[in-house]
Amino acid sequence: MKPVLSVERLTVETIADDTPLVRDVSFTLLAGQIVGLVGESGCGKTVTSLALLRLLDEKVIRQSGRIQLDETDLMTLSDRTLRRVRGGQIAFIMQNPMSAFTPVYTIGHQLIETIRTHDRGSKREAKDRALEALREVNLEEPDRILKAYPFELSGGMLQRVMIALAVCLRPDVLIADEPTTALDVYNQKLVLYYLEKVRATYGTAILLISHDLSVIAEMADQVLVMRHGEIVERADVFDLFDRPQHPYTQQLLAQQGIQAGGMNA
Amino acid sequence: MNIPLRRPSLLHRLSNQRLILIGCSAFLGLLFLAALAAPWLAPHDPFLVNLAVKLQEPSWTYPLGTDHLGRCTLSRLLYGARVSLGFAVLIFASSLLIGLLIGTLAGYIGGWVDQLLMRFCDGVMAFPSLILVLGLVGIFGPGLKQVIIALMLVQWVYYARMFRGLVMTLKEKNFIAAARVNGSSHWKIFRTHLLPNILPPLLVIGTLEMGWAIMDISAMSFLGLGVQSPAAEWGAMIHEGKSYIRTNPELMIYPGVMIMLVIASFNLLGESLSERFGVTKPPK
Amino acid sequence: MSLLQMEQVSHRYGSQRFLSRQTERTVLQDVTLTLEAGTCLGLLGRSGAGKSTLGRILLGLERPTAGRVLFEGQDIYRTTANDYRQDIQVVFQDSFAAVNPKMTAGQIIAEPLTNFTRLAPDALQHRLVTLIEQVGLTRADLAKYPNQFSGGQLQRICIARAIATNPKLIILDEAVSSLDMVNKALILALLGELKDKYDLSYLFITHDLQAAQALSDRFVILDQGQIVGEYPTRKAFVDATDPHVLAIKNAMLATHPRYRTIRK
Repeated sequence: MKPVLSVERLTVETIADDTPLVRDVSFTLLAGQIVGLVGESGCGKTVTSLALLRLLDEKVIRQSGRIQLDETDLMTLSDRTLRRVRGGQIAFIMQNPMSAFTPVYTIGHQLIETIRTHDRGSKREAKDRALEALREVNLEEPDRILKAYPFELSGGMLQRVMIALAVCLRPDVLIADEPTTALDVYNQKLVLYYLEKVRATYGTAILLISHDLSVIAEMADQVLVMRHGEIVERADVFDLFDRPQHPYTQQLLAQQGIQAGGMNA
Repeated sequence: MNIPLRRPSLLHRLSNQRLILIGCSAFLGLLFLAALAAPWLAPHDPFLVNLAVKLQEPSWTYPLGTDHLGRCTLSRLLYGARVSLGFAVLIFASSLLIGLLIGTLAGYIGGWVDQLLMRFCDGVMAFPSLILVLGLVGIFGPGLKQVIIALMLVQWVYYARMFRGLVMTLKEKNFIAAARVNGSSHWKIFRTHLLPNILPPLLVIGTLEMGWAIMDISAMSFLGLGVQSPAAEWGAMIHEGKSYIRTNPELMIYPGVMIMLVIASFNLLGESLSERFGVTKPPK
Repeated sequence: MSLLQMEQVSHRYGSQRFLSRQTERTVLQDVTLTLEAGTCLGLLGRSGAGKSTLGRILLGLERPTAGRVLFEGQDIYRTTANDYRQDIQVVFQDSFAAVNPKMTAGQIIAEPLTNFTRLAPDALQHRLVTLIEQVGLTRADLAKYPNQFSGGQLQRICIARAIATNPKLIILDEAVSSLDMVNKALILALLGELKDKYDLSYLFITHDLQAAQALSDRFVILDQGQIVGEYPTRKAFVDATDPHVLAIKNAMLATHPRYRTIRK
């Protein structure tokens, strides 16, 4: 099968002093596949995700490599075309859902505007699609949510609204950067559940970035372990948990074990 | 970690921030110095009427020529800067202090105190400044004092609302809670935790507001409500020059250009400061 | 006498919050709990259950609408003395929001010391060095600003600030919830170590079952402002089968892909 997204030797450095932030990262995403990217905070996970969408300030940072989305190389696209790709073909769910919305407009306004920038259509149609998508992620009273302002909703609800938006736009690729880190355990599970629903229903490929091995264990097919900006191990999720090869992976799993041990005691 | 994100701002791309910052500060700084040193820099007495030399072309004695009463235009511009800049600073400083006091109190205490103060602000806001000036002028007659008092009475409300918003946002941050847990008094929290975090936006708003204050003073004087002749002030100079717009347009152009340059500098400076500190301007 | 007692504490927020439709909202309803010296009480519950409000009430930051909070037998909202402040400290979830961005680590840790003690400048400096080394950072870190630290390091600074005045009780308000797994394990270990060394008591507010179990001796579950379950020992908690405990346990994610439930 042909990959939806393939990244080859993605490298990100600062222009000022050539500090490498991400080095030689390569991976592919197939339709309906979830690839987990795991590592400590500051290891370059977020930089990688932003680099994929070319969201880094190119005055401060130099980025090289290939980012192939279907037939197009994102590295060669103009700002204008990129904007259409972002949110259209590639959607992005970030850690802090509050910062993904403008506080001054209602959720409905922002959802409808976003839907209409990517698909021409009347306001009415966009609103219907938004409502339907909100129902699909089991948000109660979708009408009220459309009228609400971002700060009136909880983090878990906002994250589900983000997933609903992904449902509307049917992106080929969804990059989810620590989508559940800011949530409590109850909401975490719900959000992951709906992510999986999107994948299963629409065959969306998901790059799931997390520092939490449990999230990876629940969701991923393939896992990339990142440390100091480099991929130190890549493996099938079962292989990784059963037979971790790299000492760093072994250390991460041991740390998870300490906490899990507390639970099963 | 700070990840450098792509900035969408056009201004950011078009302009060289550092150059603007240095250029505008230098221009305004020099102008302030010139205004302070006006008595020494001005080649003539700005109030000296000499009809023998009225409406002269620029010359070595009168570098920018003379007006309809034979007064030196350059000297009048220099003295005018004292009035415009000086009173802009006065309005800015006084309304800032009142705004800071009331806004911080409302934001920090919250509850009914906040409600009361903010309703009062709404009341003041609902009152147009021009009407207030006209009212004061109607009672006390035209004059700079009336204009300044009127502007002060209106301006502080914006500051109060802005500081209230800033303080309320900061108050939600846990470091304020931590400071109380750590035994800091309210006064100490204000000094060490609130004020240093309010300063950058204050600087930005301050520079932008200064431009507006100058604009307001000049506009009032142009309308004949503020500075009265023979006092030198840029708006008043435009007012006086307008009778000679066909024969001697430079009488209006010189002060007009000064007003434009000063306000543009303050605005550009404010914009680049706000970029630098990452402060978003609250809508006025 | 227990170190801390909450008796029938209820709390309501008034109107004029974000939604004007709501006039009053009950956040806590008749909460009664006790905390013994030298123990750690795990307070579990989902976000919005009222856990953080409960913490703020215990810290003397928010006077409850009804009920009493006794610290060492003294009602902290009836006493004029502020002694209790020195004895009850806090570590918040988001370390970046819990410190003033304009202050150095040294100034941050020094704040409670200058407020509660009268140390000479060199004694203060000495104490700061001891504290920062205690939490696993170095003397040189005292001069750094918050944005020069990682989340885990900054949380250590917050812990140093919390233990600076030798408190008796520290309220850990989701103190490890936003850390990655490596830092979470390290900070939990540090907290355990400090607890033994200084005979501290903790109220560990969290939604994270694993973290709670790593530290706590007793457990309480708060739901919609009410205490819905109390478990006097770790075993009682692990064995409990009531719906509230099960809800938490069901929300836990698998530790190995073999046990996963979301993807099958």
